[in-house]
Amino acid sequence: MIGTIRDRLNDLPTRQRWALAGVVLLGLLAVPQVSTNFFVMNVFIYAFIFIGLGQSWNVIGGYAGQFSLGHAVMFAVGGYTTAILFIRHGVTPYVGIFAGGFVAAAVGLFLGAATFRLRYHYFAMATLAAALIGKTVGFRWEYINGASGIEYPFAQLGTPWSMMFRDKLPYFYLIGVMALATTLVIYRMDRSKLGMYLRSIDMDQGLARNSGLNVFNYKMYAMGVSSYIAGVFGGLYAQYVLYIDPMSTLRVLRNIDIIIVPIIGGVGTVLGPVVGAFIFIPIREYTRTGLSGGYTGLGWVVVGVVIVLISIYRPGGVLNQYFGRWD
Amino acid sequence: MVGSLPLQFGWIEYLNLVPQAFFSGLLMGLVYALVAVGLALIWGVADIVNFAYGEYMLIAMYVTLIGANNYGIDPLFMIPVNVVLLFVAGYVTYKLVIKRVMDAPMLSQIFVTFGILLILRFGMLFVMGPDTQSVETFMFDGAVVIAGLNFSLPKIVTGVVSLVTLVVFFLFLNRTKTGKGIRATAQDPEAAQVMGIDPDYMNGLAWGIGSATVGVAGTMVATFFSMQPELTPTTWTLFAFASVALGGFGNILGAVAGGMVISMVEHLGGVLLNPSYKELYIFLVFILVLIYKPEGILNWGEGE
Repeated sequence: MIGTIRDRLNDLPTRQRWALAGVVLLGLLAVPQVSTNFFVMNVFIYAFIFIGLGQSWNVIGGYAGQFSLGHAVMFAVGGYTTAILFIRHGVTPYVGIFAGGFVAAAVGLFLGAATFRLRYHYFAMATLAAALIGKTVGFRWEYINGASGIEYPFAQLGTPWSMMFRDKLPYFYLIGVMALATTLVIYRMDRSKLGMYLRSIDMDQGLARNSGLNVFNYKMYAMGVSSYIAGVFGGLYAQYVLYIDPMSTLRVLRNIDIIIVPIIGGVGTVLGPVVGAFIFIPIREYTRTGLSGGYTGLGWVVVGVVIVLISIYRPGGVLNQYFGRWD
Repeated sequence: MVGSLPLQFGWIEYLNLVPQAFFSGLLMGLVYALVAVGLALIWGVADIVNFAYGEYMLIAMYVTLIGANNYGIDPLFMIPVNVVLLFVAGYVTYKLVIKRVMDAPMLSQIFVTFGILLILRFGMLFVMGPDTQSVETFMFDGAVVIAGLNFSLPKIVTGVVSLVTLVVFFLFLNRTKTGKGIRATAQDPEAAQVMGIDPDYMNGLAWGIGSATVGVAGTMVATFFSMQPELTPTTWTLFAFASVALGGFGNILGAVAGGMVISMVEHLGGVLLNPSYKELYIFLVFILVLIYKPEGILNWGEGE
């Protein structure tokens, strides 16, 4: 069924496709008109954050085929940078989130420079080790308050440049616009030469190199873009939760969280992370609250089953056309 | 940032602490080696990395815990139970799930073990709860003093059991026909198939045996390690990965040496440097080995 829908969509003329995208977008804009329920808003805002994170991972993991297991590090770096710049140095988060993006990109490039020699499982493990180093440091480093994390000063709530809002609606629009902008950037990349280069690295790195492509440089380029996006959304996350600590940003599960979005939606596709986020986040949030108390964790079991089934029957996610040919 | 290099104790203390850490590291190294060989076997034969490896170990730990705390069965007697249970678990995982992604792109092979990780980890969280628990009774409890050094008795027993299991494991791989079949499949699946070895059967066996070894390790470790569904498995999976990386991927004998080295790094690092960063040293060694010598520093030429 999904395959048919996908093929139909692919057959649509460009103009109708944009019209369809516009309709979906207007529908999203209208959500707060229908319900400003705390919980519904929360689900959408988290979905927007995870669209951003999914797109971020997709650049390096999906397009370039480098299976990073350490993206939570860049996410956390962005978040901490934004929070520390604002709370300790009075830099507005409207600047801070982008500064966080740059710091995250620097960390990502460092990580990339160290690990891009490796491929496949080896790269995945090296980035996982980096994630664990990040976690250990995050819990112990006193400059960022170690395990207790950094709290935002509530006295600043609602002041114009603090990006701290009293209700969820501004967050909905702010983070929604950022997720949309990110998706558009990825759309541009998907159609550009860069997208083609990255795909060719994914398909056959040796062949790409022999065709004269500087594989390392393009991987670094992808890692920089990817880490920058992860950092920006880390900043947005910190601004939304108004608290940042290593448990919520650096635990091992956060790395997996980020990857699940494109896995479910579609690895190496523009809309994959969007679809994935809107499948994954509602499952996660509703099972977390609906199955709380004695049933904690069952939601994750459901997600696990979904991932196993998708890996077997739809490797590469529901929207993936390249892997789709395998079935 | 990361701890301070200045010595924490006076010189006299080190005369005692360093040998203590060395021998403790040696004992724990045997367990790490046992955990690592199982992972190396699965990786070497089936060519799939099991990211849910620590979760399989946790199954054995929890079974031991339930046996000891609820039914009063001594952990030592839980070894055969866990061996059988984990063998079946590994074998069924292969037949039910892994077999179907053997020809799929690497991406879905990694995803699939993540799915298994989530199912097992949060299934156990659901059943056992989020609290940290530990086994309350063990036949060998307490500590002994040997040549002025203190050893906890459970750790000594664990070291001995791990050593015996390792010997049995290698005798099986090197002396029996099935064991040789498994090794042949690891070296060259197609050639093995031509020789009349069914790779599918051997993959299933590798998953079963690899999980059974971690079953033994889990049973023994449960006697002195507390367990928690979200923290314990990650730690052990990473220790196993680090050991296997050190020994050269898919190299089973190298994994033993890797396990010993990792344990030494942890124990000696804990004494000589800042002990609260013990895990960090392991991960640093792990990432440095991956980057500079991905073929493993202890590769003795047995692998491909």
